[in-house]
Amino acid sequence: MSTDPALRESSGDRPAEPDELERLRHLLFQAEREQLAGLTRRLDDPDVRAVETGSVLSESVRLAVARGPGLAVTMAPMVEEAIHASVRRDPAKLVDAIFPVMGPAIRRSIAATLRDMIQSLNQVLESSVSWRGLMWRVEAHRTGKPFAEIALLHTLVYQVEQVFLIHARTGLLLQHVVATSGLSPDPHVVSGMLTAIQDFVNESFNAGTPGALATMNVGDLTVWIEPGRHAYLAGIVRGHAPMELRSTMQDALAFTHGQHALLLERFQGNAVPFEACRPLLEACLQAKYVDRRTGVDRRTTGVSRQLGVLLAIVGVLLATWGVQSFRSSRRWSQFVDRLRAEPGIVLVTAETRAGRYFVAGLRDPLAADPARLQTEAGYEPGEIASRWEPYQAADPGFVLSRAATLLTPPSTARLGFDRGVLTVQGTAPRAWMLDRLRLALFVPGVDAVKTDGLRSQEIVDAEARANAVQRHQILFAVDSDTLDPGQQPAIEALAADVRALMAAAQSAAVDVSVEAFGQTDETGSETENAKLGARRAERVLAALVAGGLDRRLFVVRASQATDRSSDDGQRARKRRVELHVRLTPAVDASESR
Amino acid sequence: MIQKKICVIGAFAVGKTSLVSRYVRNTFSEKYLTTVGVRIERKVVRAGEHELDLILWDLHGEDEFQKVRASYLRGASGCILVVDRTRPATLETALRQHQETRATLGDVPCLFVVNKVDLEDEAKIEDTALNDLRRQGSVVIATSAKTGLGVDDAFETLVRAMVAA
Repeated sequence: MSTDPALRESSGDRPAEPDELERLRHLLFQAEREQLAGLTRRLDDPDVRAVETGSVLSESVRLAVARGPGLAVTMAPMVEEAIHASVRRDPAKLVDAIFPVMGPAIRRSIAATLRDMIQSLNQVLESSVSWRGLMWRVEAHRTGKPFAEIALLHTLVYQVEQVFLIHARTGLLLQHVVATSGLSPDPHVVSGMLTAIQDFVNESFNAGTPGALATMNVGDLTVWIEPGRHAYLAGIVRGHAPMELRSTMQDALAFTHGQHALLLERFQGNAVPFEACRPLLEACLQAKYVDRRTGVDRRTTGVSRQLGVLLAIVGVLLATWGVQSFRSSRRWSQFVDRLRAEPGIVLVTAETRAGRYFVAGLRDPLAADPARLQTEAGYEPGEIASRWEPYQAADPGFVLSRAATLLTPPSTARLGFDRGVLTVQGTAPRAWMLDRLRLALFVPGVDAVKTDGLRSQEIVDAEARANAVQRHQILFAVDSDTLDPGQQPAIEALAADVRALMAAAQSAAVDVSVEAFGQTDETGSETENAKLGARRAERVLAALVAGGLDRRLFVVRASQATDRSSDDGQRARKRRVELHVRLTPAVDASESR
Repeated sequence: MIQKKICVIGAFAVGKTSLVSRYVRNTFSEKYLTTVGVRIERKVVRAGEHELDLILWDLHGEDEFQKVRASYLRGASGCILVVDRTRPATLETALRQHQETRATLGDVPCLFVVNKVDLEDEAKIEDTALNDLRRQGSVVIATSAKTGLGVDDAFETLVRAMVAA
C-alpha cells in the first residue's frame, strides 16, 4: 500500500477510506491483478501446466538434442528403466515392437555367417586342390608353421586384426575387439604403449598436434591411428588396407564421441559403458582376400573357381558313373533278354547281388553255350555266376538237331520237322533207310516219320544206268541186218552198260526187263520192215549174248518209222537197234522204294 | 573393472623397474624401455569390494640428459617416486619430480619409496631426512626390490590412497 506524501496531500491530510482505497487499487492495478490471478491459476493447476508443457516439449527436446548429447545421456537411464519395466510388465509388447526388425537382423546375421563359411570353404578348397596349395604345404612343412597360417598370409590382401578404443589423456583402454585369426597380447598394455609412443613422437618432433602419428609400420603389420578429441582408435592391420577403412574408423570414432562425450570427458577409469561401442569397433574388423591368379577380390562371396572345378569334377564323375551304370544296366538287360530269347534255355533267375551278377535256369545240351553268350556280351569269365539244370527242349530246331545226331543222315537226305512229324527227303543208301531211319521214332519230340520224298540211292543209280543203256543206238545199212564191223565198239560199250545196269538193279533189289527194238526206215513194206527190224534186234542181242549177257533178259521188238519226209541222213539214223529198260520191284517189294 | 594409471618415476638406477617387476610378473617388452622411455605393465588387485586394473607406467630414469616426459604423466591416478637410499642425490631428484608431478597431475596420491634398504652398510640418506619428509605430509616407505621387503606394502598403500581420493 502506498504511503506516498503526495497522495496523502491530495486527500486533504485525512486517511483514505477503505472503499476509496480499494477503488483506487482497482483503478490502478486491475489489469495486473487479473493477469496475476491467471498466472496463479496456471501454476496451481497441474492439468494446465501439463497442457502448456506438452505444447513446447517437442521443440525443447529438439533444441536440447541440437546442443549436444547431454539430453540423450540424461535420458538413457530413464529409457532403459522404462524398457525394463515394460518387459517385466508385459514382454509381449516389446516382442511385438521389435519383431519387424528381428527377421531382417537374423537373416542378415545368417547371411553373414554363410558368407564367411563359403569364403572359408573356398579358401580351403583353393588351398587343397591347387598346385599353389601344394607349394604352400611344402612351405608350411619347411617353415614349421601351420598350413592355415601360410595360406592366410598368401591370400590375404588385408585384415584388421584388432581395434583399440583408447582414452587419449590417460592411455587407458576403453574397448578392444579382435578378429578370431588375430593374436592378442594384453590390450591394456598395448593401449598404454601406443599412447606413450604417440606422446614420444609428438614431443620428440614437436608435432604439437595430438594424433599427428597416423600410421606405424611394424613388419607386415600396420597400426592405423584415428585421433579424436577424447579418445582415439587404433587398428592393427595386416596387409594393405584401402583408405575406405579410414572412413569406417572415423565414423566409428565420431559416433562414439557423439554418444559418450560426457563419459569420455570425465573418464575416471570405468570402461564398462563403452561396451556399447563394440559393434562399432567390430565393423572395423574387415578383411579381404584375393585370388592372385585373376586378381578378383573374393570378399564378395560366391562359388569360387576351385569350388566350381570341384563341382565340375564331381559332376563329371557322377555323369561317368551314370553312363557306366546305364551301360552296365543296359548290357545286363540285353544279356538277360538274349538268354530269354535263346532256344533251349529257360531263364529262371537273373539278378544282381551286391554288385555281382547271377543267372540260373534250364538248358538243353544242344542250346547255345551261356559262357559264350556271356563273352559275346562283354563279360569276363567268372564275372557272372550261373547254374544251369539240363533238360530237353521241344523246339523244332532241337528235335531236328537231336534227330540228325541220332540218325546221321547222308548228305543227300534232308530232315525236316513240323508239329511232331519228322520229314525225310532226298536220297539215301538203302542200308541206311533200313537200319537207321527206323530209329527216328526214338528221337524225343518225334511222333511220326514221313519219307514220301525219300528215294533209295541204289534205285536212282539203277535208273541212271538204265538211261545210259537206252541212249545207245546200233546203226545198220539200208535193208541190212548185218552188223557193221565198225559198230563193234558200240556193241561192247552197250554190253558194259547193260552189265552195270544189272549190277545196280541187283543192289537196288529191282528186276530188270529189256526190250530190244529193231527199227527200219520208212522205205519198203511194213511186213518186210517188221521182219528186218526183228532180225536187226536179234543181231544185236546175239552180239550182247556173245559178250556174256543172259539172253533171257531181253525181249525182241520191231518197229517201222512212219515219217516219210526225211532225207537220207535222217533215214540212216532210223535204221537202228535200241534197248528199252523197265525196272520193277523185286519179289520182296516191301524192302524197296 | 576400474582402471587406474600409476606412474613410477625417479632418478636413473634407483630400481624402478626392479620394483615393478617384483610387484608384477607381466612384462610387455624391454625394447620400448630404451626407445620410448617407458615400460608398461599391468596388475589386477582387489581394493575393498572392488577390483582395480592397475596400469603401471615405469618411466625411464631421469638423468642430466633426459627428463621425464610430462605427457607420460597425464591421466595418472597415482604416482610412486623412487629414491635410492645409497645415493642422496636421488632424493633431491624425487622431490623435484614430486613438484613437477603435482604441477601436471594436481593433487593425486603420491608416495616416496626408499629402495635398496637391503644395502644397509651403504645407506647415505639419513633417517632424519626421511622423517622430515614424513612430517611434511608425505608417505615414505622403505623397500628392497631385491628381497621384496615393503614392495607390496608400497603399492597397496598407494592403491588405498587412490581409492579414497
